Amino acid sequence: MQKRAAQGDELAKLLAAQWEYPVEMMFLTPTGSVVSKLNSYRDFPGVHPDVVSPPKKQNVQREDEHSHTDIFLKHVSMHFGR
Amino acid sequence: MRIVAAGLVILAFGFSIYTISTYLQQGGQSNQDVAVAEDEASSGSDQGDSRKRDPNVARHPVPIAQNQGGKIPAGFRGEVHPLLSSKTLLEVTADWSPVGKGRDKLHQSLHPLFYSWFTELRPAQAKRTYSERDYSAFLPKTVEEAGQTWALDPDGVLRFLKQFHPRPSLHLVAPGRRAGPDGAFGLLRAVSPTYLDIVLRIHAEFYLTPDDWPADIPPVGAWYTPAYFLGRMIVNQRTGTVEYFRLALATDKSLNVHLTVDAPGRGLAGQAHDVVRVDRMELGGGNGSLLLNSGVSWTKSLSLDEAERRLAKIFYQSLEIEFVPLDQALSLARSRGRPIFAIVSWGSFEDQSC
Repeated sequence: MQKRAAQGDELAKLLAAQWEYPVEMMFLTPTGSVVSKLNSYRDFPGVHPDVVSPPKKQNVQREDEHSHTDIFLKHVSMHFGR
Repeated sequence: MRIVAAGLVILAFGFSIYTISTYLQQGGQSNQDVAVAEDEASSGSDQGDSRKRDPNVARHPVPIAQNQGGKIPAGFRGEVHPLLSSKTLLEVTADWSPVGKGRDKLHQSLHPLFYSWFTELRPAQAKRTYSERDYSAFLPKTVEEAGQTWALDPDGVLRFLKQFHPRPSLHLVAPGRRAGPDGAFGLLRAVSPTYLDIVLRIHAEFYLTPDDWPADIPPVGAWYTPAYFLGRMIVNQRTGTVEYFRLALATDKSLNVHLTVDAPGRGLAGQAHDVVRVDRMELGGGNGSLLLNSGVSWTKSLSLDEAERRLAKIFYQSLEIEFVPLDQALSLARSRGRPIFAIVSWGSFEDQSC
């Protein structure tokens, strides 16, 4: 994506500028303006039990795995729900 | 909570970028709907031996379920497929290039002895000749039409992977990350009166800890996990022989192999991981390029891209989404007045590298 951004791709430039490690979810308007973002490290509370915990993160119990889904859906609902 | 399911979605990882037309779908199957072939892959006799050697078996992750595996029938199981009616003795050459430096610089933090397990990898056998019995593992029970898919014979696949290293597994067990989906599948890409062109996709892993690790020293587990293997096999139906075989690590992404070291209680913070580039890890025999460029008149065929896409979709539910290229996303969003949902990831979502 950074290569595409360097080549002048308008959307790639925007996404590359907004991206933070490791996974960034971005909601944009049809004209390419960022409405909101979710970052996998910052916005999701825990990591799957099989995954090595990054610093300051906790493994979640299996029954709590869907909490990420809830966070995502609440975020979408807040911006786009009706 | 009601979600507006109309928008454009972009999934961007590494240097591969896609766009999709809806962002909430029901696709895929439940965990209960995992392929019989997946169970088969997990219990292959050869890798059973491999797992017995692994002292950290309790730390193994639970693999993600295949997307379509439950719908895919098992391929040929037996000695020699009736299609291979004549003697095939096709020599296969192994080529394996060294690991590159990874993003997480494992080479700087890991003890040189352990890192050498990755850097000193060489094919276990530079050349090996396989017979019609060996190649039968990659065939369907019966040949139908282009697009047909089947699950490969796990033990037969492992026989080939052992040309790289003596401890391959089709069950991904390296701890510390989400594993799988496991699996090994074939797809009939093209059919002519003379030839069959078969494309393969295999998820595999190699357990590198040496067999002679001292019994009185706590174990250190090391795994080498390729993104995936893509294969190609050309069968001559008239002669009943295999004329070309290739099985190679995918190199379409810039980083394509995951390295794992697991050393609980050994001062390595438990685990170390890295994702690296390997330029070439390949088995090849026969002259496929000559054959494929000779103008074979295929009666029915899929493009190679389409064949690989269908194989990938067997593994990953996310590929049920309809992707379109990033360079079209903004213009499509504008013309349709639809919002964009972009997922930008450092690593790949559709292989085993990350």
